[in-house]
Amino acid sequence: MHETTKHKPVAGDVPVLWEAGVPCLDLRDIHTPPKPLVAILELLERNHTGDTVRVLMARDPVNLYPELVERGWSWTKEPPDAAGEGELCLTLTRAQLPESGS
Amino acid sequence: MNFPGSILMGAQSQLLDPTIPYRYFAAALFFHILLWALIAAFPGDIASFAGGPGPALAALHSLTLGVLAMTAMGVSFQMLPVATGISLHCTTAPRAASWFFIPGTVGLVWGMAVGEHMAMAVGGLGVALGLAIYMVLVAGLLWRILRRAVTFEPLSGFGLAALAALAAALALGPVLIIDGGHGFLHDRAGIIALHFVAAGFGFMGMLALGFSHILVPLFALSEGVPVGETRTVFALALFALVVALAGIFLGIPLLTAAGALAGLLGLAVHFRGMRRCLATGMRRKLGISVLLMRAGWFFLALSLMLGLATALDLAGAQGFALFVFAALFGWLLTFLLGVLQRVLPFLGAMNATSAGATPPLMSELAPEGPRRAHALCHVLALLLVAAGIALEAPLPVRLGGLAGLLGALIYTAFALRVLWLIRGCLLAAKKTTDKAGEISEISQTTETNG
Repeated sequence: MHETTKHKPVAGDVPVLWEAGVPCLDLRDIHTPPKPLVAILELLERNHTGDTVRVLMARDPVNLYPELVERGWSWTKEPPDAAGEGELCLTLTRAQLPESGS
Repeated sequence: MNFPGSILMGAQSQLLDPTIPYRYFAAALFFHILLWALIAAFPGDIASFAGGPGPALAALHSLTLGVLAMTAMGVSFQMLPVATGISLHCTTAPRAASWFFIPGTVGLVWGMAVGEHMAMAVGGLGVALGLAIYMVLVAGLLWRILRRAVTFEPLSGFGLAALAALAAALALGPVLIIDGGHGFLHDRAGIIALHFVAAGFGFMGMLALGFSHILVPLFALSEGVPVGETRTVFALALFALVVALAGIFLGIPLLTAAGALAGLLGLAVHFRGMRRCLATGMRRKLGISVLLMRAGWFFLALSLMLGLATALDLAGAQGFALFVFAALFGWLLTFLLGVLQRVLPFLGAMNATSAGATPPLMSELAPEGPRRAHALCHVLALLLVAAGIALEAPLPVRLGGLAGLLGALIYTAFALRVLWLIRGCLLAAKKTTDKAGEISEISQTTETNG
């Protein structure tokens, strides 16, 4: 069950929800580019976000993955073979930064 | 070049088979070198160009068709689905468009360079067929984007207006080719001006404005321009275009001048929105590419002022030539090169991650050094060639052509390095997948035998 928190919204007005101690964004109804991308990256760059973030999307965010690599985050998709249009849940996990990026 | 990740990227995905957009980009790199080589080799023709076939016309169309339209096709096919999430239904048609358009452009440019009307006609037919496929595909995509989300309405507006202007420019092209051989037009200069404004400001200009509203916020990681503001820019740009075209068609200079003024007003609103995007984005350090984009906007303003002066007969003998140069080379080429400096590595990284590979970091994929060297050569080339045209002096044009050629070679090396690194990533990912598949197969066989 999602709970709203006192966390400041991201990308202007996107609320940060909380699910079993993990921050979660529901971006399924946000279609204006690049707002979904900005919302996720803003949350990842906040100090108190933690090491895991969950995101609900209306489509596979292909333009997000290079940004995650740059920031040292990894991701898993549910369903794992999601591509193109169709809802999916992303679990983002903070990983070790690649050596060349440090 | 074969891309190992191709199999993972089909029509159902927002990412096309990488060979589709990259074939357009590769062709654009070739024409980018060719156009500066032509300028360097035939500076006298460029400095005193007064229309008609020859190296100057060939260089001009190497730019407009070979670089600008070619890149617009690759970017439209790939970045519209990525930005909006709405995929192209078909991958054969974008390939087919390239089969007609790329050799067609080669034929047309060759025909223009040597004054061969048959080559121009055959090449022009290929160009027209390629662009017709492009128009149908992108119009369908824009229509679906428009139906899906109201927030894309102004973006679709820019795109559909660009396609309408392209249709007009495309209709006038063959008229000019046939007139070159038979001389039946009463006002050839007027038709050339209509063709130039429809293609340069209508097709490429509207497309550049529309894509700016998607790509600049994406690069800067900012929230984007509010829909109301985008609508204002669209309304002013469309009004400017229609009024300017009407002024040229009807032979009313004041109407054309009013179009240029409306264009300047639209640019002011557009620039304010873009500047806000860049200032408020999460990514502030965009490097030299953002300077090229800003230089492009400066040259757009300059070209509109030159257009205004030309319409009012205040620009002198070389006014129209400088107006064309400022718009096509100063604005569109500079802006496009700035955008591509970021799009190419970003697109490569998207292809790599979608195929399960880890791409190199952006700093490794697109180092600042070669991009700065290219930008420096490009700006130097613009200034020298513009001076040569203004003074009708071949020497500055030749020096500018050489600087542009050096810049184009650096740019090509930069782009090929990006493709090479991404190809390496995809190959490594494919090897890992194949190895995992083999291990799984051996395990299954062992279990069955056991």
